[in-house]
Amino acid sequence: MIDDELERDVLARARGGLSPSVADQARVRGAVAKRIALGALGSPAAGSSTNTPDGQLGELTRDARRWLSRLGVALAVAAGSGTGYFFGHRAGVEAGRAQPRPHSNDSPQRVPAEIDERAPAAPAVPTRAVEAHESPPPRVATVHRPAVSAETEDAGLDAEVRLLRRVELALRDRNPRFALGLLGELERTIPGGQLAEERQAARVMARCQLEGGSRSLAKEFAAGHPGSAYTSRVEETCRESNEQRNPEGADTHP
Amino acid sequence: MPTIFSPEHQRNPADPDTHSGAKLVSLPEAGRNEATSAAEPRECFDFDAIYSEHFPFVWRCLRSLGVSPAALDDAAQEVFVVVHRRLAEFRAESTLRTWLYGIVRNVAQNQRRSLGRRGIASPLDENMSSPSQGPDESAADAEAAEFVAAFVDSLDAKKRDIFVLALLEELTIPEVASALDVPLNTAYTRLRAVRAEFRRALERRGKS
Repeated sequence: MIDDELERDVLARARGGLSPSVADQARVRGAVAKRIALGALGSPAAGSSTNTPDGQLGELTRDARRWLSRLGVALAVAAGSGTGYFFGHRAGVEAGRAQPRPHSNDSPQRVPAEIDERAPAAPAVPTRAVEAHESPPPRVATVHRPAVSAETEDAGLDAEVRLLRRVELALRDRNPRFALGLLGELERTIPGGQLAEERQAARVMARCQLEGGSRSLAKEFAAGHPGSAYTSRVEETCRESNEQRNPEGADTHP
Repeated sequence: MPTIFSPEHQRNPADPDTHSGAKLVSLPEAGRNEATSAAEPRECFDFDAIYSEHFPFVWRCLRSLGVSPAALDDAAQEVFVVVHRRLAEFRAESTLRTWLYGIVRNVAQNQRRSLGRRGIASPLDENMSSPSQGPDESAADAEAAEFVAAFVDSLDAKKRDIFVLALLEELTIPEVASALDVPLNTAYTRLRAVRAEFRRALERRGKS
């Protein structure tokens, strides 16, 4: 006769036998980070296998892991928004539609209209995952805001994104003067904005391209933006520019 | 020449906003876990924490739902990539696990369709033992896992869900009902039925 205790024992053992190892968890995590970083969301074709040499993940995974340690909102909403190449909700218009925006001294925060339209859900008791993170329990945003303000902000962000794209293209074309001109235009038309870090990173890279690269410029950026996802890019650009200007390898700039 | 915006220099002809296809690398959001003001509560879902907390649950469910060991890594990746993409949609109308299970079930169904049913439960392999246990305990756990996996495989979809959620993962019946979008009484009825079947299977195994 099967009793409760035997049933419980078999199930507990099965749970143990079916559970992943620490290595399983770490391996899949690395692969997930890579897929997210590559933007291959939902696509098994892009880096789906975990059987890749560790070296291939390299810098990309380091950047991706930094993001993953802080990101909490789906990145692909922004990537799929059609507004551009934004990869995450830091600059994502669509991410802004899904939840309140980060605080900015320049503009008051608005709760996007889409949240207003949803009936507030009965709040569930958060799982340990949320509690363990020492953040408030998940709640549906219930503050009502006029939709017009959110749309206006979205339009400003759209414009900022478009101009930054042009900056990027100029940098890619090794036209730092044009890139700096565009950044000046950006400051005039959209002072402040929501993408200050992107602008600064672009500015440093343009200056490095123009002036032959400087370690101090890259260091200043890193110091002013600790943990920035752009630091490695900025450093690499400045280093390459310096090497091209000074093939002997010396950094002649202070 | 690397740019700010991506380590890749791949063309993306589908993207009308760029001729290079480079993608802006977004920044993590500073102060994400702080309310912007007292009047604006925020949903705070940390993907990293969710991954750490719920990976074992996802992994076990995938295995229980018939994903073969060879496909397990890809299936688990798929689940968390979807979680990452859809986290903003999670409105706390259910618990996180019930929401996760919906994703797991879909991924498992797709895997089973594409790779075929696993059939007989997998033989003992290193994935089935916990590294923290001794060999005897590992073997016993592996045997139990094999038995349970084979049992789950024999169930229809409705009973399979109930078994995995209620008996294996020990979610509460209200959570199970929410995850499966069935009335509470239906969940209880199915649980009684699947428990009776499980005990019959245990008896048969005991006799054999």
